Amino acid sequence: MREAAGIRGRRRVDVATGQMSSKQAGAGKADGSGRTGGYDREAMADCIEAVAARQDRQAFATLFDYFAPRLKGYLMKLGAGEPLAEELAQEVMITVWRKAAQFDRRQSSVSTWLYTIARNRRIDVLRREKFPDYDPDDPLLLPSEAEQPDEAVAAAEREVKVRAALETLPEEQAELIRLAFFKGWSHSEIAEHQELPLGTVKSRLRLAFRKLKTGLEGAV
Amino acid sequence: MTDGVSAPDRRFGEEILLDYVTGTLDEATTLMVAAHLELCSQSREMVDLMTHVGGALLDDVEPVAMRDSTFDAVMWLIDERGAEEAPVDAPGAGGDEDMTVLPHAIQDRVAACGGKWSFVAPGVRAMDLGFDAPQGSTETKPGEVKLYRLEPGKGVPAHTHQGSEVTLVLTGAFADGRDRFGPGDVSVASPEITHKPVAEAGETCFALAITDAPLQLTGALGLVQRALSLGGAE
Repeated sequence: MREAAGIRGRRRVDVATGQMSSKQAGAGKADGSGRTGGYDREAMADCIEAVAARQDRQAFATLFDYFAPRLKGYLMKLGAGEPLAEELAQEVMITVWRKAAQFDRRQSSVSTWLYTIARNRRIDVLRREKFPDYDPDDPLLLPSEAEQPDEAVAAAEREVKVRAALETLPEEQAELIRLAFFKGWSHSEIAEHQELPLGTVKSRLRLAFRKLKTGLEGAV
Repeated sequence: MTDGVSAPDRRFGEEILLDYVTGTLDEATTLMVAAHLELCSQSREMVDLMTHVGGALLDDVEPVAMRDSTFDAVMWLIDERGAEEAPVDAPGAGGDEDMTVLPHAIQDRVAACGGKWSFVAPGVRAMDLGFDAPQGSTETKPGEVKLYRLEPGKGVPAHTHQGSEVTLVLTGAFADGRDRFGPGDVSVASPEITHKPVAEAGETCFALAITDAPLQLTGALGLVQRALSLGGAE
């Protein structure tokens, strides 16, 4: 039944672990090489392509080792209990396997792609609670990915730049971004919880995204 | 079509785009934003940026260990399900030839809900897209989410709304006596406005309209309204 069990023994690939050790000093900082956040994003993109091309289980195991615990941590921050976060992280990884062929490294970095899958799975669950008849395979939930202009900076490079720009944001702006993404709060919910005027929330977030945009456009 | 840019005051503001990216919008508004993104490169760039922020935050999050046997369980599920799942083909849009020009998000929805056209006025048809009432309370009538098809030069009779109406132009253009709206443009009509949208000559105008329930201005559409009215003006 569980033929997959044997895989665990031979699935140590150096992508995640190797990068971690060679990167300790600069973890989370953009260094322009495409390696940020403690892993090699090009190697991760290779893994997804290997899953798409030949259902490569070892490559999938590498992705799973790195991303599943982060997905779980992310979903728990969004308020999911441990069992639900565990289940959703599993579902996201299964979706990664199934939809690997749809991944396009020119348009999306790996973590950005996984982010959108996790968001959509989470929406699925919330809707299922509200509407029992709801069909999770409704294509609306996976809106067609927007095409990038041809001259757009490569996806991996965009992410490096966005990350670098994020670190330069004033704390009062960065905090609101974290609340929007980690709490799933709307502007008015942020205003309410932080006891800030709605206009302040709007302008801080607007400034933050303008600044991130400038960071992305500049320094090309 | 994909290179269009809406005028600043016809575009969704950053507030609603961020809600789209973080997944907090209701289903109907999500569809409208998704369709708008296919038509407006500027909004698309902003959403791309915001999604990259989501990816970067996901990378930086404190990992929480998965349970011991999870990987094996996932592989087992993949093997079990793999056999029965055929790849999902993009469904075509209801056999209506000229609907292939619509944004994919709309075509997918039309195919999924199996909607039918109904007569509104000469040269004007509408299709209910079968959404549940957006956040409707039991005391109010549900709002509607409809796809409209206006032949060139034809229009919807003058009307007011019990609630607000947000309209996204998908193809062609219409003028409503106040203004002209082209592909990717979002038009907001509040309850006190009477308008009479008429399609421009030359091209069939498809538009997606979400009508709020009466007396309900604080829900998702209230947000649309705020997002639009503040989006480009400040």
